[in-house]
Amino acid sequence: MRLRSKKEYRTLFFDRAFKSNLVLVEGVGLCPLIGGATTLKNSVTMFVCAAVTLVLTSILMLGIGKKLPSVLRIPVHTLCASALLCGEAYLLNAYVSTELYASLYLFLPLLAVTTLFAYHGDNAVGAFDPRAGFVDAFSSAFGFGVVLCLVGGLREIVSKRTIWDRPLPLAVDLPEASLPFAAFLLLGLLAAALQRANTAAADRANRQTPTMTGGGDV
Amino acid sequence: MSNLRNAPFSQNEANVSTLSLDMLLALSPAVAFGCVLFGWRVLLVVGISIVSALFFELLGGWIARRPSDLRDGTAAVTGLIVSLLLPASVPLFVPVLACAFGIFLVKLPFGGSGHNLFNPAAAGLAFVTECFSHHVFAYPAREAVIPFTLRTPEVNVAASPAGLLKTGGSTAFSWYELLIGQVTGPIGTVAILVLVACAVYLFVRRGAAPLLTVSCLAACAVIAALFPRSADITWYESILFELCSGYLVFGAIFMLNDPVTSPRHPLAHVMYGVAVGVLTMLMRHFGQFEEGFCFALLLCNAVSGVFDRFAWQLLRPRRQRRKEREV
Amino acid sequence: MTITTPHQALLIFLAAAFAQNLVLTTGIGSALSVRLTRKNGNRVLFALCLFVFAVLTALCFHPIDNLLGSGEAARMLRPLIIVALSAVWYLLATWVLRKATPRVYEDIRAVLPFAAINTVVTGATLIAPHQFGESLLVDVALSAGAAVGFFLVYLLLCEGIDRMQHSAMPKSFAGLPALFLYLGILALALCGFSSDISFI
Repeated sequence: MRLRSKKEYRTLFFDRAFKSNLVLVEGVGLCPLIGGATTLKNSVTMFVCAAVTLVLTSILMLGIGKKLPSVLRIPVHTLCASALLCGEAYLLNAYVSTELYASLYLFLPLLAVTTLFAYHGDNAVGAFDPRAGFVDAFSSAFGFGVVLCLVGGLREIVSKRTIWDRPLPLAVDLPEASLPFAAFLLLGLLAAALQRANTAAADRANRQTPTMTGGGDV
Repeated sequence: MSNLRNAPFSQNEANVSTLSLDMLLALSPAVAFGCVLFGWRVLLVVGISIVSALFFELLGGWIARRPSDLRDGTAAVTGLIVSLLLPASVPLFVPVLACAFGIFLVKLPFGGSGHNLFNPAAAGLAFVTECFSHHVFAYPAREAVIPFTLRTPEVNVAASPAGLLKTGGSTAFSWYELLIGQVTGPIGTVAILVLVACAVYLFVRRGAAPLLTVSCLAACAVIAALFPRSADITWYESILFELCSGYLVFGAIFMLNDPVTSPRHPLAHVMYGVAVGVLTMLMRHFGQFEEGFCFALLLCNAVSGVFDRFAWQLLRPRRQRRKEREV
Repeated sequence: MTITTPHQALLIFLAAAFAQNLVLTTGIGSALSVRLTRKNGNRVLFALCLFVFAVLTALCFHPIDNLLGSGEAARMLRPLIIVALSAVWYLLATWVLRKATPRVYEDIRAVLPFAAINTVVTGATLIAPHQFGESLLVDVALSAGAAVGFFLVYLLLCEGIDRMQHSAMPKSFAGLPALFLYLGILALALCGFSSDISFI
């Protein structure tokens, strides 16, 4: 079924980005997030890399996925994502910042695994509609990026008293916020908040939907 | 053999209230002795800790839209235990943060009293130990007078026996000093004889399992005898210093016997106690802090159900055989 | 500190598996272990595949890494090599198990991709600039230790999920939020061990 209206694309976007958020609902992308998202700069960099990789690999797999034997789909997807990430790492090192590349050296390759789990395969809406496939992939990456930036920004503020390397006049100083346990606990709270919001939205939608009460032909 | 898959078993409210009351009564001599040793600021620390634990329990219940019953006493016990494991001169935000962590992140999200997977006091203490170790292990010197003040008092600090063992320094304390609390350390853990008396009360009231405490301390004693951390002491002195330092005895009596997170079967008690003891000593030897009991307890809380299942599986053939003989 | 003896390598293995568990001290492998709890499969076989893939990856990666040298290009290609190796093990294991023992393949089919993907994740220990020098012994010890550590965390997660199955838990925390908190508390508990040793 092809998506046609803007409203359908908007619904798809919010569903993938928030209702089925990659990190907080599906539990994907924890590896780079826990270890790498310690500053806002790291988070934004990882978001950009994840978005580019996810969109390009999703479009590629939409095109050739059905022609490959099922046993080859995962290895081909992971190899393509890793190759793309290699290129992005090179560009990051050569044209953006060597320090940023050094701090993300280990975590950028792990985004390949994230994109593998983020790819919705044959169930993707984009299986029949490339534009929807693009929105699907981008919105998944966007949701991932929102969580990355929230976690990275908060951890940078609390542990280093800076944001985007700019100092902040704060009294709190907790370097341990950059440790993995703080990230796990923060994710737990964010996931609980999102789950509560999703449940409340579902309840509201159920109350608003008119129920069919009578029989008879209309 | 009901509900063996899950180690928390104490969910009956009347039972929990009685256990909590017994725990509070058992800990009151430790509070009193702490006041004698360290001054009236002990009451401030203990009071703020208990009040904040109760407040956070109420607040959590309000946020979750389910009423919290403070009468079960578990929040008060958490607050009291946290305060007794801190120095008398600790900044007051430390016990508050520890209670907030224990209640909001360890107790309430998993279902509240009777359903928590980890000991909230141990988790709160682990959190402040990791983040504020310079406050948690800054014990006032024995001769220091700690003013009764809300601000952080400026007092001379001294190394506790646990701190001296960690740095490999000389442990020049006599048996008498260690047993009656003539050393510096956390508020409620230095007077070992008082703690032993409290333990006897709890064992008689069945609020604690002797096997748990004894197996944990025995495991620590064996490791202390085999691997003393100080070069100039004998093996029995090593046992004495290791057991009387830090909050090992306190933890083995009051935290290990948490009815919600500890296993149920007597054999599982032994295994659990030994596991906590071994991990504690490993952390004391190789860890970054002078005391690792709370961290060891958290790790073993995660597998307490495994000990119970293993104990029941181990003993099952014998019980079946006995049933066949009876038939 | 360069590791040269098997005894030292064994200590590294034990540290990587337990005291400095990769999943809990860095978060690497946590997503996989969370996802794995939703799959059914033979755990013993899965653990065996995990261990074998990790050791084979270390054994093959070391000579390739020596060939590549220490240039910038080599540094960037290392992750790709590990991914390629994990793809090879996955395809090889699938082909061999399908032909030789189809029943075993059916038992492990759902979790075999995870064992292969995990080599990508535990491969972080192979490419990270750690403090123990570069040798085949270190690579194998770290890789094997990371695999064992991953499996231990997976077992702990299964145990935790089992114990969290009750109605008293607030609905907002049921499922993934509680799992995150559970992992966070376990990670905090491991902070009691020394932080002088780091594998990444």
